[in-house]
Amino acid sequence: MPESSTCNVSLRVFSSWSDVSAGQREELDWRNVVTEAEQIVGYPTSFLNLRWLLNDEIANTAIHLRKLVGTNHPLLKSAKNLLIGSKSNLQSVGLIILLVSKAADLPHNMMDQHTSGVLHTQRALAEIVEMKRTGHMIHKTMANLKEKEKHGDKYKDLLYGNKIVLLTGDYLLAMCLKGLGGLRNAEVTELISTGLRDLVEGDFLGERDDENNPLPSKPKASNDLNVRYQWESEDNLGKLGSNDYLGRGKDEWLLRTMLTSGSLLGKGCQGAMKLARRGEQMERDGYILGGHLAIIWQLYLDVRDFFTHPYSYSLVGAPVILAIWEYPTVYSYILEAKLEKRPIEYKQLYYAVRATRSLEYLTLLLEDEMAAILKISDRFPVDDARNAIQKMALTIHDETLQYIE
Amino acid sequence: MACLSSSRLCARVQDKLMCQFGPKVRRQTVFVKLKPPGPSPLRIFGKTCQRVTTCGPACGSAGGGAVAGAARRLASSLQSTSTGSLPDYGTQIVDPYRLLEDDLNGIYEDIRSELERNTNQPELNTIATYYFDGQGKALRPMVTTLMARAVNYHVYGENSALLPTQRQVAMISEMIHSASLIHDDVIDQSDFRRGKPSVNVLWNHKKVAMAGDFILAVASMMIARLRSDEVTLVLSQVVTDLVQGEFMQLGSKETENERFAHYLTKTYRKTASLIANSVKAVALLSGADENTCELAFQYGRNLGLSFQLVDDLLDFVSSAQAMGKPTAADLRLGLATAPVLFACEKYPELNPMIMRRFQEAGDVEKAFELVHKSRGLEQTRFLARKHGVEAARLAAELADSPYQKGLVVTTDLVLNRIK
Repeated sequence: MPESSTCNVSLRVFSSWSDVSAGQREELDWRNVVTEAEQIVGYPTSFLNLRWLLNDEIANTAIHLRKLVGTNHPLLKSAKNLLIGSKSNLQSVGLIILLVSKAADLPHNMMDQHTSGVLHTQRALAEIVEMKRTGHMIHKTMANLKEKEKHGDKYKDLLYGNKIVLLTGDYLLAMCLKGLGGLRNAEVTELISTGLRDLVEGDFLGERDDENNPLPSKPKASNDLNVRYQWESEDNLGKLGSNDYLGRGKDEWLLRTMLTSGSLLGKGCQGAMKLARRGEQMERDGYILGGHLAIIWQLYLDVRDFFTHPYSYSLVGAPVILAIWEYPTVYSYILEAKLEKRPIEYKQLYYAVRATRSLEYLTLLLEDEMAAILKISDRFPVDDARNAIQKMALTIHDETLQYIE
Repeated sequence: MACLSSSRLCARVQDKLMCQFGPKVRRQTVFVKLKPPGPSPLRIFGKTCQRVTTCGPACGSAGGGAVAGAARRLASSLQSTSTGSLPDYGTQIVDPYRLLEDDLNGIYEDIRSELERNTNQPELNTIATYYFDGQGKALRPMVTTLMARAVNYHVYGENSALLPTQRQVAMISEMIHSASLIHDDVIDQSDFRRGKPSVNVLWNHKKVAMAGDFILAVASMMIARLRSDEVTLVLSQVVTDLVQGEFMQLGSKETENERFAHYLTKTYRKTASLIANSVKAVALLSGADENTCELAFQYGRNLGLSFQLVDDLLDFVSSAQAMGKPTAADLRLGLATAPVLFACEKYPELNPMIMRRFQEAGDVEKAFELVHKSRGLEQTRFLARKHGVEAARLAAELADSPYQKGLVVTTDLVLNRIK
């Protein structure tokens, strides 16, 4: 779906879900939704990433990074995404935390510590969460150098690239810890630190191929309804879920999504609630809202990936995982490729997935998530911020449907 | 810690030392195996010593003349070690590792359980716990615990116990240290550490980086659970310093003067900061006043600098077997450490070699040779000693206790180790 930045869309603020019907809904341009949301929280999040760029160490890193130009280092491919806004990028993580912060309102005795309805500490937290995510993402771009021979001349450059990647990521994570200390809230520090732990856990979850890309797990036979992954109600300070959910279709997908994005976003929102002393219920609501937003976002990304890259889509994306769950023989594509040590037949798998009811289930999941988001966000009192959140979710929801249809 | 295996003060005559130091005549580091008279247990300040028969008089006060006499002989032989004289410890010889045996016991196990508790993935657990097998020197937890006890004694007197929070700091300091080692091994491409293949040899870079992040995440959780804003700030400063130290290592300075200052700052950040801030953290947790906390910090800083200087020295004089890793490692990495920087004075031809990071063929060997020919090693030793003495002086300002003595002894141990 093309992003039209010149599209002049007039936006109406919906006071509740009932105002919006399929006919009345206008096509909401993502960029406009984001811009409007940014205005609501009074912070141009498009500059969020630039602040730390102006720091000495990072300036040095830039010099080192230049040496990577011309190499095949994965960092260069990711760098573009890290700095330039796109729908799948991180900046929205900070924006969502700010929106949720505002939507929850502030206690009366903190009225002097905010701008545009968001506490300074909440802004700092949003930035910290962005940095944490960025730092981790940067570490993920490290090149696999196990087989020196494969790379030949490029080996030295890739090694150098890995060093820079490692240090830059470390720098960001160190800044996070320092920033968290500055918030002077030990509970928030603990919470966000568990977020980083979960990100790493997500990188080790389940089976992997030789390049360390994730693979779906073998589908489990039993249809035991008791074993559902209840992320909303688990103690999120402890490790999330368990390996029992692997091979259980939606639950495996949910676990992976929570680990790789839901946890951090959810905990960012929860932390923001803590900073504003909104109480335990709102903290839980914040976590749940953040979690669902991450889930719907991941659904969108997985669907888009599947339809736009029919030869290289993620094998642990929702379409594939749900297909395997519904029709376990689809797993044979994965298994055979693994045993015979050959690449996956993406095209055939694509058609196999489409032949199942996977997309139908996906649509149901999408609707469920949208409903959950609306329900939980309705508990947040401040109108403009809440509506902005709902609009963002709605936009994602609609665009996902567009791909499926 | 030359003569200390995991927890005792045992005696070993170090013949090897004679060969290592070349033409310079060195006194051996001698510790004597002593059997105290009779089967009765000895006591230090209320603490009963077990396993008395195998070791020297780590237990001090009670016990009788023969032991005291043996202790004095021990003290005098300690004094004859290579780095020059240090104050007489009196009749109470203290081995910090033995002193803290109960406290340090199980510290590695506890770290491993904490890590295990936070992941469901076996591979992550394996990589993360790889360096927590108890084979390390455990210097940081030891010093941290020692300072905690010494400050507790200073503030509260004889009946002070080690706080659980302080023990957590000891664990955290070791975890931060290991996480940084794991990342360093990727950057340095080292093959060996602590006598076994380093972690990046066994797993790819990405997994290793992730495991380091995981350890850091768990350490951060533990820091937060201490529920002290001050301590959180102090310990988070360590992580920042470690990273900045690594960045400094990537760059280099032009002039000689700048270079040495750069080296010292880098050394502080990479090594001393962790020790300094960990001991400051335990002092804070003890409720000590500002002066005492600052004193603890400065002790840690000086000890750390001394430690690193000796490390840099050992890279030139020790053997691969003793170190657990190959020597002249710093030169091979392109790093100009104190011995080289000092040697520049006499051999300016080292300057261009430093600038090109010893990359040209023969640079490493030539530099190695020139360092030995110059007074670089001696000057490094002198500087290390200076910091060691300063640390000892600071420690002496704390109230008298076996732990305070332990802090002084530690400065000596750091100076006299062979690995």
